[in-house]
Amino acid sequence: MKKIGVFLITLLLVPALMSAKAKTGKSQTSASSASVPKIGFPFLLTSDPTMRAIVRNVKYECEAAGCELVTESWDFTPDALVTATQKLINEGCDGLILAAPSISGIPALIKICTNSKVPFVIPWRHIVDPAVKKMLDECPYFVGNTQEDDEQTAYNLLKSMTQKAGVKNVAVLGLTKGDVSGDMRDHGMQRAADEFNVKILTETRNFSTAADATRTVEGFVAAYPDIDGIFITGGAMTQGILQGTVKALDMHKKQGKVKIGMIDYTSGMDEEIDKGYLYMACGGNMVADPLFSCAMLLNTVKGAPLSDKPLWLKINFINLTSAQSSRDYFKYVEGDVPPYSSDEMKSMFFKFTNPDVTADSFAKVVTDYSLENVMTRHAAK
Amino acid sequence: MLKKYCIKAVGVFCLPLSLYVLMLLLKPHEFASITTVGILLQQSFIPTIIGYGLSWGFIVGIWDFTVGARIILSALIGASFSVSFGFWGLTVGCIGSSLLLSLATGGLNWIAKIPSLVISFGLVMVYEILGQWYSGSLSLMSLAGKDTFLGIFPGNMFVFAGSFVLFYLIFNNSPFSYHTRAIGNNELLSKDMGMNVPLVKFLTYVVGGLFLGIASVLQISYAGSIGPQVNLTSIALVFRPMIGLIIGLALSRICNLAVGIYIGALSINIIFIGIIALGLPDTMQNIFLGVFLLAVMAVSNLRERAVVKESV
Repeated sequence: MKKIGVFLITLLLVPALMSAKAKTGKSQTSASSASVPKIGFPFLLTSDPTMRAIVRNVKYECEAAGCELVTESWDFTPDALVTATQKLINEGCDGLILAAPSISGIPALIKICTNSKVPFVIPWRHIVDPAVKKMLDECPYFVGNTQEDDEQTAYNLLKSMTQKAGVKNVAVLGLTKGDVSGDMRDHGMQRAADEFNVKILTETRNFSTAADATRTVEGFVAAYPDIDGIFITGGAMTQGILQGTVKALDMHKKQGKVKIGMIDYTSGMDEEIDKGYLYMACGGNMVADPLFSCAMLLNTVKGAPLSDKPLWLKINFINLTSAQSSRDYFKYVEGDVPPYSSDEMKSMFFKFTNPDVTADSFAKVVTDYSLENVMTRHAAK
Repeated sequence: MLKKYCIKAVGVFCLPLSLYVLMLLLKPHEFASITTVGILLQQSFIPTIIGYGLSWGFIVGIWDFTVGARIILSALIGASFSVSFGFWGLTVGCIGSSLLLSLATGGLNWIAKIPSLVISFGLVMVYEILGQWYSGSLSLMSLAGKDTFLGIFPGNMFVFAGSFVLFYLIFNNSPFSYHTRAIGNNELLSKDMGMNVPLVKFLTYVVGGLFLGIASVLQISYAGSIGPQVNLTSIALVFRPMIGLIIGLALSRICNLAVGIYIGALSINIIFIGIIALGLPDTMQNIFLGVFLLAVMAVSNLRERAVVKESV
């Protein structure tokens, strides 16, 4: 009987272990050829549409460049990223896209990549520590970084919420402390709050479910009857955070009385903008950022680096304030049609397919990135 | 008799009342409001019903961390059924799937004969992956607005009242409950007395699963949507109800467990919202919660010792 039980447990656990997207999750390759260069991409693989769009577009880009994408799931901790990086290097990856969650983990990644002689890029991260920035600049295998100005964006968002929407008492649904982007957004938000006399009532972090957000926002309503704004510093980190927030506000008839400002997009934004809850969502970088980082990396891996020094590029956030623009974003950037087609990538991103591509021309492509830019190129098609 | 009853009632409600009065003194503007009291009472419904589902297993010594994953998976299944069958699809989907998952979990525990803690961690991963697979391309399953009426007043109150009555009747009147208490007190003796201990333990999952199914209906109706959880994050769902249950068990000497679990959940809720009102960071919630739990357990333990000493 005991043996049957053990057998049954094994039968149940083996598929779970093999398919689980856990710390040491299985790598996924986009093509089966062993001769093409491999690009390794440790990433938080979830069923969230934005996360899937990120992987889909990076994979598309790698295939456009004649390379293979190898993904590795991790849980967004520095240790897990180091483990995932080593695993990908062991699998023979020729380049790595490393979205370090905190600055403290970067020196370890530099050491691993330098020892293994594997070039790497860092997307989504603003490197604020001068010592780490120096280490990266001096690392011969660091290709470049793409970042957004999280601090200024958060400042601008809260400034707009208070000056144009009259928000004065704000509660915060924040990202985990120690996350670089989250900390910078907190800083920008606080700067705006101090400058424009906005009261930050309270902040709560670490949500797993939409119900957590509903419960927390109900708590805000209970604790602060004067609340008129909610600042979500990371709309993509918890599935349903926006919907959960709006549900709580709906229950207490706060439509029109509480405005939500959000950084990072999530599905369903257009409905909440229509209802009058979501005042502004700043984002659009989630898909584009790794595309640009990966482009720099692909050029290096294919033997045509854009520059002999690391490139530090800034991407602008896209601010959405209308339901139509939200729908346009999800159609043209995170939809089935990629924001940059294969031909566009070959002519604008890859020096190995278009020798006229330079570091400056590529930097201009990055600066020009916007929803209007994507729609201009693709809307007529 | 009435005097004794009143004294007991005061003793039972002393805990949440004293917490509420404390918060009222600290933040009168925020806490002196019907809306706040309503939120405090209503937010305690779901953790209480989950606590009901956990209670029998806890009493017999089972550590079941699959509760969160089961609730989420049941809610996902219920949500998908609601697309075709509306409210009844949601209800039947949630409760039916919860019972099936409970049968599977309980059955595995019965057959495997290894510590429940080990099995529960393994099954958490399985259920989370099943949830992710089931939701497919949808990261978030939402309910139509008309199907979420149980998540708000007075729907949630009626569901809670029904769950309360059901739990009260089963816990206080069924042989199954008496057996669980006997096993919880002394498993070896219970076995020697002829109780089918494995069967009783299996039934704790099944009976508990009914309440977890009800909780999953409320959970998704409350938020209006639910998404799959991975990387063992669903375990976090069980902590607050478990603490409410522990407080309820500590209060069980002076009140029925059905009431005690609600009192526990309500007390925790008052602390959490109080921390928000005080503007303290949410990390303080866990610190206060831990301290509060230790205090309740210490007081309960002291009283138990006093009773034992008196009887000697």
